[in-house]
Amino acid sequence: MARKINGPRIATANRLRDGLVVFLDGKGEWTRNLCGARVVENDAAIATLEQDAVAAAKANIVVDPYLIEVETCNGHGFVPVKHRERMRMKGPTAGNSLIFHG
Amino acid sequence: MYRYDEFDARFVRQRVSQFRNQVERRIEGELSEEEFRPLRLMNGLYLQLHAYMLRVAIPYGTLNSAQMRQLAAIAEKYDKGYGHFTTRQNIQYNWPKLSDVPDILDDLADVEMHAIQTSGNCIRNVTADHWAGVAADEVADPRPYAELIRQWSSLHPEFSFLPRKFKIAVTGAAADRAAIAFHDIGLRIKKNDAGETGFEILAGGGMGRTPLIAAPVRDWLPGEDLLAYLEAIMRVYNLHGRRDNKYKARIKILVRELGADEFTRQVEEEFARIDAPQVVPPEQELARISAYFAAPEYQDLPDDDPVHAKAIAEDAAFAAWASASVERHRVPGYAIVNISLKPVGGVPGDATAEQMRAVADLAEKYSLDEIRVTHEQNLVLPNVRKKDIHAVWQQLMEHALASANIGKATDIISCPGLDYCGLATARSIPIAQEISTRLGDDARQNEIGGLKIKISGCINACGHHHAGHIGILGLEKAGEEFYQVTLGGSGDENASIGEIIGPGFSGEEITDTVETIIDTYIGLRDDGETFLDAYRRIGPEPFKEAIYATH
Amino acid sequence: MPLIRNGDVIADSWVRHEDDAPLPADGDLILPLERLLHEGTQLAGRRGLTGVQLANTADVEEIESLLSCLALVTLEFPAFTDGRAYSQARQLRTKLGYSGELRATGNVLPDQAAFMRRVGFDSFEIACGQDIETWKNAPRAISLAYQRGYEGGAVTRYETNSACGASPAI
Repeated sequence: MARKINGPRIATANRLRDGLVVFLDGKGEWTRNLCGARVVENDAAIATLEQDAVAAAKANIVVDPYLIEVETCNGHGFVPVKHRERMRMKGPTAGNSLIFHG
Repeated sequence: MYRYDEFDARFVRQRVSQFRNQVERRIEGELSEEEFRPLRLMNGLYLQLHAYMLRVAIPYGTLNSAQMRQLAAIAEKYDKGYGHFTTRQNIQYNWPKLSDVPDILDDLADVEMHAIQTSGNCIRNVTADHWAGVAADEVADPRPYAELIRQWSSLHPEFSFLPRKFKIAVTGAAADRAAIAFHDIGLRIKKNDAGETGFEILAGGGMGRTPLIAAPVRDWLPGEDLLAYLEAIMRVYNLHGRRDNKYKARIKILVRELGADEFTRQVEEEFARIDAPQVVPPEQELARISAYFAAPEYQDLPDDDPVHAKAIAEDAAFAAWASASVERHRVPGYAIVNISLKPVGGVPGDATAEQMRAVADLAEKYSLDEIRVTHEQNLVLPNVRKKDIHAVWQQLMEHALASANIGKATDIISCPGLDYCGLATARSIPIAQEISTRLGDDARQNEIGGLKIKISGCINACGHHHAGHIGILGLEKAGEEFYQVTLGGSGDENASIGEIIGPGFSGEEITDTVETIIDTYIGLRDDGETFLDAYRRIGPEPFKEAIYATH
Repeated sequence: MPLIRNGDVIADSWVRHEDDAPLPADGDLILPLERLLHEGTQLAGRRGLTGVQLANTADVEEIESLLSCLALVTLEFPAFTDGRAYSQARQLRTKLGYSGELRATGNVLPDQAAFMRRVGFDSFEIACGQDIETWKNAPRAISLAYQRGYEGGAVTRYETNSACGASPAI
């Protein structure tokens, strides 16, 4: 898991059974919605978040969890800082997945 | 087409139950992700950016209508109603659930298909000329050999944990439509003066971050020695290919570091000590497989068909489409009909379930039940009577499958890019869509002529940008996507690697850049000169000047 | 570590002798390649069998001249994804005609057992805690194989017309 990041962060992973992108929320559940994600800033909280994420992978709920850096978006909620993570959060911007909802 | 016998059918079913058990063990927690990953990859299952992705093999690009209908059914039952045909004669589903995958594999087995070795560090789906068996310029049909290789490479006990993935392509024609020079092993079937079948063997080609054209290893190998010789190459690679650095682990690096001569010496030494009669299948096995590829019952027809000629004369839109899509067949009165999966502004290689069924119906009715999938992400009806071409075209139009752009500027190859792929650094589909929309006008495409634009969303080069006349590579810098342009690549029998033209461009600039390149070509070309020929004659300078003068 | 041979967990009679100490007069010893090459003919005077431990970077031809005095060769899988030892095993069995025990060591897992069996391994040193039942069931998962001339454990297309075959124990 990446450690050397700055600023507020959240835990993300893909869910084992269906592979979909999920975020760890305040109740310890993995949610599809980034808005519900548990955002932490201080070292102790980050360490706990990381432990919880790793534990969920060990419990075979999610796959390959890691922490990502987020920033506030116009004062409302958070979005990932990195381009790849924004893409991961948004889902495909092109292609038939946008037309067909299975 | 090849049909499974009891052995093949049981083999694939065993593989499905083995994977079903492995998926259960994974979900139960008996297998860790680290242990499971190589097992799922060898069954074609990736974990991508947004979900799992299942890659299904279409061995050497051949399908019948029942198989195509099953691919459509799988798309609807387990995915979002469509599939993506790739640059290696595979189809990908973007949204399967892990727990559904064993059922999908069982559904595939029902129609003699599988996802075995479509990923992982093993011998991947063997590819071949998509016009195999019907091309007018063919020396010999590559499909029986490709099937032999498919069987031989399936769950090979010695070569399933190679340093890196391994791709083999076979062609039986002078014109190379299988890009053999860009494969780990490229095979070209030849006939000698005595009429015997043999192979020219290339090794060490590839794309990725170190694009290399394959080196000649053997100019003539008797056909019966094929599998023994492949075994020798694989063994040298398995023992000596680099495992310390993932980016240097492909066989092309071994061939380059040893030198082609030394590599060949080692292979020949190993080959000399293989007891070929012990390892190659008995002669009747090739005969058994070849029988499945015997020419279908073609009708005895005159080569010129009056119905077709009349339609061409009277219907300009049909004539335009036919001129791009219809190719000469080796049998008089028949034609090869190419189907573009590149609607202007669309997603290269995607087909909806409804489109797949439409193609299946056409194949059943008009193409002796055969469909081919090309590495350029298009489909082919290989056996259409000339008199039926017009009817085929009308039905293709009803399903938005009648783009008259095969081989033209909007027939763009594109990988899924950062919209789907976990490895990508930038998006490729939206770039393909924008370029296609910009160049989509028929008159404009005809003015440009034959042009291969190929787009990859990362250095792994699944979009074959190194082999594009215009290649586009998507990268990321400081959180922004940018695109590097290469010119002069080609994947055919005169293979070349595209040259980087200069600094990259933003997503907003790239379409303008492509258009500038094209206009520069149009301004400088000789009469009838294609883009590639013009580039090879005049070199990169005029293009650099045109592109960077405005920046 | 548990040792599996012919489908059963068996006691391991072999002892690894990895340091420079003098060789004991008795017992079955596994020596590193360098030590084996160094001791050479002196091994003949010992009571007990000799085995060699080969790294997966070694050229198997280095032990060609010694094979007749060897009763065991161990080949290593540092990670199960590192497949060099499959080719070493294959070369030992076919090119060099070695017929003694061939043991897989390292990251040896049941999902690869059938492949190992087919290139010529006949004993498997596995990590503690692995489920022996999974090991026993592993060869049954795929009982068929396309490749000709590889060893037992599977029915191949060319040796039989029947698609049904019993799979022997790992």
